[in-house]
Amino acid sequence: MNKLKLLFLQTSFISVGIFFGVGLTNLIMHFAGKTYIVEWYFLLSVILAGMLCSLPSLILYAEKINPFFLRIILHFCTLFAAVSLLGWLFKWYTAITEYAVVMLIFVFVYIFVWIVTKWIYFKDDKEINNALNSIRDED
Amino acid sequence: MQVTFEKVDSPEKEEAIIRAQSNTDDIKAAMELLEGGKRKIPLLKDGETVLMAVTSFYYIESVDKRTYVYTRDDCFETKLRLYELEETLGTYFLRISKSMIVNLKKIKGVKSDLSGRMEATMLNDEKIVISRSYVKEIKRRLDL
Repeated sequence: MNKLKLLFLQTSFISVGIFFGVGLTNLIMHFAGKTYIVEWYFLLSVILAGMLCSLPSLILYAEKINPFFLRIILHFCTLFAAVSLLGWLFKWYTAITEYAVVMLIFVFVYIFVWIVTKWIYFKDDKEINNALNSIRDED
Repeated sequence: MQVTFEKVDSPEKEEAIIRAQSNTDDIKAAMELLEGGKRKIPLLKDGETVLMAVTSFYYIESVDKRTYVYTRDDCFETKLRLYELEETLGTYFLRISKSMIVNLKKIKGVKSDLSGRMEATMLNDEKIVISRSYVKEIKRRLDL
């Protein structure tokens, strides 16, 4: 997969993940009797956040940083900082409790993206292995 | 495609000629089947030329502009370039990175890690890396 395609996929995953997270939070708030009104630029800011947050994915391809787990930690920290900055710029939070909610959503989205990615890889592996079983040479 | 069968009286006279506009994957597979794995390619080992059946190839790798063919327990050099082999070896030989072609029939299994790298374990338990960008082509070749 080329890097541009990967960045596009990551942008889509992150944006969808944020929408899902915010939607779920709004649903909970609605049943808790609270309302949350978003600003006119909110939807665009989520897509922009998706684009900006996809850029640190390049860290995952920095083969000089080993082991891979270290890349994930670096990636997570860079994203954490990026989301905090974007949240401050787009006023996703105005108080510490709101900041905590935003970062909780971020952690949820982060895990969601990895689960989806792992699931796609697992599905590819399974399909390919099943097909290989039918053509494999006797050794 | 029109297929004709003509009976001959001796094995020496047995021959199959395929006339087509292009050498498609299906035609390559048919040729491979008809040749019954008898197709051989000259390889170099310790300065000597040996003829080796392509069906025994595990993978082919290009290193420093030289091309190496790996079998179960051995390694040979060939004068042919990777792209030339890619065009002639047959439908189950497939490019998996810029410098490697693998025989899909010799893969025991594949497994991806979180970084997107797919690792193939060969029948001799050797492990090779498949670039993620070639996974789509592998699936296409396997009719997935």
